[in-house]
Amino acid sequence: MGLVTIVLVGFVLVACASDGNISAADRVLADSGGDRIVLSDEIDRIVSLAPSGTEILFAIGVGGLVVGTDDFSNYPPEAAKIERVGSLTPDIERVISLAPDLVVAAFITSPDDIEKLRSAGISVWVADSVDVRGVSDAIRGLGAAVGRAQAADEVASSLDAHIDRVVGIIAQAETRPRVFYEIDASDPTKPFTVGPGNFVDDLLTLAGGENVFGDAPTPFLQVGLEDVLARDPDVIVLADAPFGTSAASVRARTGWDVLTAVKAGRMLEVSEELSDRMLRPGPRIGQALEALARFLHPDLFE
Amino acid sequence: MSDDGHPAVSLPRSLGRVEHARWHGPRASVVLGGLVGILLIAAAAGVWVGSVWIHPTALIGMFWNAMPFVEMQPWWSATDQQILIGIRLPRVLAAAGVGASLSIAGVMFQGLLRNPLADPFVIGASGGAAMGAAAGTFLLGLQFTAFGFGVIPLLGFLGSFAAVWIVFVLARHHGRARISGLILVGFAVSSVAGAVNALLVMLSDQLQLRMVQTLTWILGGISVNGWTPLATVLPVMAVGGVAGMLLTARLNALVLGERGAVRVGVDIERTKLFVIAVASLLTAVAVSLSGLIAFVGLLIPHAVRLVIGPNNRLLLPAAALAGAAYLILMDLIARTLLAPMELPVGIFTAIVGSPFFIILLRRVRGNYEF
Repeated sequence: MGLVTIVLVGFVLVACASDGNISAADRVLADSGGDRIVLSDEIDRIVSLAPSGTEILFAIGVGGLVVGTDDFSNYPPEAAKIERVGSLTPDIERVISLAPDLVVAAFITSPDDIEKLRSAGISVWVADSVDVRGVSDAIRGLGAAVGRAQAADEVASSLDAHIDRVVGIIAQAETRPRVFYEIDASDPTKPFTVGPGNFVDDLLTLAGGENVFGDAPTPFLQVGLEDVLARDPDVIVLADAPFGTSAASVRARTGWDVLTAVKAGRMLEVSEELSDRMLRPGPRIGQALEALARFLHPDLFE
Repeated sequence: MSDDGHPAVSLPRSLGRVEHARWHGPRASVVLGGLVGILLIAAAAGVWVGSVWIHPTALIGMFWNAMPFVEMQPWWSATDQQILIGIRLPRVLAAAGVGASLSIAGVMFQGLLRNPLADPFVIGASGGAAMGAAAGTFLLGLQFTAFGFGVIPLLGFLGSFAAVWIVFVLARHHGRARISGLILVGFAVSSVAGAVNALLVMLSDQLQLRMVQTLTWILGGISVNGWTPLATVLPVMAVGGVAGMLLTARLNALVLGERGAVRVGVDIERTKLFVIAVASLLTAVAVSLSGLIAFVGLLIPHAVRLVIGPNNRLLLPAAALAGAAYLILMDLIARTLLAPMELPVGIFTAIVGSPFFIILLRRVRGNYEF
C-alpha cells in the first residue's frame, strides 16, 4: 500500500515536472469527469460550451466574465447576447481566438474537442452530473474552479434545500404514477424514450413517478408501441411538445386510445422553458423537479 | 458460333423451349408448397411471439371473432386485442409484403442487369429515398401525414421512385439504355443523393433527435401505423408481383444476352422499361413501410437460385415467399431480442443471413453460375 502511494506520487511529480510551465500560482482541482485540471489563479475570460455551464456561471455571479457561449445558451436572457461559438461541435478556432482562461464543457462535449483545446494550452473544465443530486456538486466544483467557492456553495445549498423540500412532500404520496416519457414519436409505432441511468429517469423518480421503461437495457432507446401498451402508463410526459406534439395529437394516433393515460387525459405538454429546465443539470433543476412533482402529485401541493 | 459467344444454330425459337432445355431443378409444386408452409409458420410465430405474452386460446378467439361467424364473448383484455390485431398483425403483414417486394425487385434487377451485385437499390433507389426522407423532415415537419403515412416514408417513397426514373432518363441514348450506363449513372445519382442527405443531416444539428429518427429509418425497420397504410400499399405490391410474374419469360430470355434475347423475339428496350417500372415501384412501396432494408433484395434471390435453379418463372414466386418469411422472422428478432428496445431490422437481415448464404454458396462447390 505504502509502496503504491509512493509510486503514484512519484508519477504525479514526474508528470508535473515534465509539463514544465506550471507556476506557483496555478491550482490543480478535479472536475466532474474526475480529470485533474490545472487552473490559472486569475480567471477573467470564460467560454461556456453548454447551456447548463452558462446558467451556473451566471448564478454564481461570474456571468460578466463569459466571453463566448454555445448556440443553445439562452438563460439568463443576457447570456443570449454573448458571442456564439457553435452548437454541439464548437468552432475550436473561434474558442481559441477569444483567449479564454477557462473553457467550461459538459459530458456531451466531444473528447476530441476537449483534447484539441487542452493541447492549445487552454484549461477545460467539465461541469456536469449524471443524476439530479450531483448537480449541486457540479456547481460547487465550478465555483471553486473560478474562485467563487462561497457564492457557489450558497447556490448549491439552496438547490439542495429545494430538492429536499420536494422529496419531503413526495414522501407522503401513497402511489407512484407510472410515467411514459416521450422524447420523439414522429413514428408513433416506435417512440423514443429514456431508460435507467438517464438524467431524466432520475428526475422522474425523484418527482415521485416511476418510469415504465425503468428496466430497459439502455439510458436512451426506441421502444415498440406494443411495449407501451403492455406497460400502460398512468401519465405521459410529452417532452416533444415544443416540436408540435400535443395531447390532442396523441389521442389521434392509431392504437394509442386504449392507454390509461390517454383515456384519463393525463398528459403533460412540456413547454420550451420547462424542457430547458429539465434537461440542463444546472441551478434550475430544482424548479424542473417541482414542476414534475406538482403534475404527478397535484393533491400534495396547494 | 455467333459473335456474342452463343451457338447460333442450336437456339430454340420459343421461350418455353429455352426454359425447358435449361430446367433441371425440383418440381415447382414441391418448392412453392414448401415455401408457403414455411411462410405460414413464420407468420404464426410473428403474430404470437412478442414482448407481451398472449395466451394461444385468446389468439384463436380473436381470429375467430374477426371472421364473419358467431361472435364469442372476449376473455382477453382490450389491450391484448389492440396489441395483436392493431399492432402485430399489421406489422407481420407489412414485413411479409416488404420481404416479398424487395425479393421480387431483386430477382428482376439481377435478371435485367446480369450483375450479381444488383439489388433493388442498385440504380439509385436508396440514395433517392434517403434524400427524400431527410428533405421531408426539413420542409414539411414531422407532424404531417397523408394516407396514414408520416412525412419520412411518404417522401422516401417519392425520392426512391424519382431517383430511378432520373437514372433511367439520363442513361438513355437515342431510345436505348445500356446496362453498364444504367449501373454507372445509378451509382453516380446515388452518390449525389447520399452526399446531399449527409449535408442535410450535418446542417441540422439543432434537430439532433429528428435526425436520429431519420437515421433509424434509413437503417431500416418495419413500421406500419395500423391498417390504413397497409390498405394503400398491399394492393400495389400485389399488382407489382403479378406484373413481375408476367415479365419472367422475358427475364429468362435475357440469359442469352441482349442480342440473343432480340433473336428469340424479345423487344429489349420495352423489357427494360417494364422491368424497371415494376421493380422500382415495388422497391419504393417497400421503402414506404420499412426504410432501407439491405441484404434481403440482394441475397434472397441468390440463395433461392442456388437451391432451385435459375428459371425466373419459379425463382420469382419462390424468392417472394422466401423473402416474406425471412423478413417476418428477422423483424421478430429485431423487436424481441432486447425488448422493450426496438432494433433496426436491417442489422439482423445481414448478420443472420450472410453466414447462411456463404454455407449455401460453398455447398455447390463453385458451380454457381450467375
